[in-house]
Amino acid sequence: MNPPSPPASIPTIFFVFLRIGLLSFGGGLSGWIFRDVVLIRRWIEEDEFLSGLAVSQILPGANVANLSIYIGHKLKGPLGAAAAIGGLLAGPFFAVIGFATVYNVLRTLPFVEAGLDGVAAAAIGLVLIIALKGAKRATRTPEALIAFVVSFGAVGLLHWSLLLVVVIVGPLSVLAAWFRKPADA
Amino acid sequence: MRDDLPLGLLIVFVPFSLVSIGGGVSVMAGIQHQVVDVHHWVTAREFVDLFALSRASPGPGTMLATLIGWHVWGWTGALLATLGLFLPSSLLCYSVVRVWNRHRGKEWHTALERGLGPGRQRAHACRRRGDFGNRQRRPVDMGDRARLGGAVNLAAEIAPDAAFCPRGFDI
Repeated sequence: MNPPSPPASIPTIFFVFLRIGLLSFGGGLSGWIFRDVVLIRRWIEEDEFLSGLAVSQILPGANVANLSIYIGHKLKGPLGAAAAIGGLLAGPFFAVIGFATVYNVLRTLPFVEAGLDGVAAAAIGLVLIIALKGAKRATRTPEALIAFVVSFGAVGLLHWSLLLVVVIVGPLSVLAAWFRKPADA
Repeated sequence: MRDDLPLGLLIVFVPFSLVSIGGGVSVMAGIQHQVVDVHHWVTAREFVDLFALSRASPGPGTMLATLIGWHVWGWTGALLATLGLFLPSSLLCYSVVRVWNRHRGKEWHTALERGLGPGRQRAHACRRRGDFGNRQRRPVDMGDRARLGGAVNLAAEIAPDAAFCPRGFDI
């Protein structure tokens, strides 16, 4: 076990999240945050982290962004939250623009273009896996299946506004889940 | 440079920020439709390129918005698109977290926390550690738990996120 770390300061919070943001290639940020904040620095307890993770997942927005706000707020109030989210996004902000700039310069080289096509294919594949897993989980109950089919048809086939579909189908589906008696409870 | 104001970026991204339940992947199709088909800021080909670049870079996948903004309006666009997609959800999260932390330990807070079970169990499964379940459980109304569990499951169903089981997560 590590000894308790010195209390978090605003600059420390910023730099810890800056590092997490810059190291987070290919996702998995929640795990890095857990390691850094709970295991190594022991800023918050494990069950506080899990409680924060649960909140982050139900709210809109990138889960890691919400989680950073939760942890930052827990440590140092509003300034802590701002330092955490600012740190998390500052690195990637310049990194993506840097990557795009380099790509624009090098795109005439055939292998660069081909390489990016490869990345795109891999990234789309990963999203597809997540989508398929989600689809499997989302079609277990009849009302969830209806919500799934309606959303897919409206957005994917009819090209209706995603916003409209979420605002209408989302609450209806929650309502249906609310009234359904779960088998395991 | 385009004729329409970069503020158009805000008008497109702010609503997506507030419905991106489960993370950025859930609104990717909507963003593509808006920026490619409706506003013609980028072509379908450019969108795929930017998507790949955002995936090859560090940070959340939603940094795609930053790239779209940058591609069309340079640094101003990048800043506006990033703020548009991250600020509204962040402010909402901040407000919720404030209330959440202030009431920690109260009965309804504990009930909610228990009700968020599916998320916690999933996190727990990733950790593959047995000690979590041994903790003393406080009695909670099962009805509340089930209802909230349904809502959480729905959020996970709309856009499940694989982020909590990273490589190198060794305990």
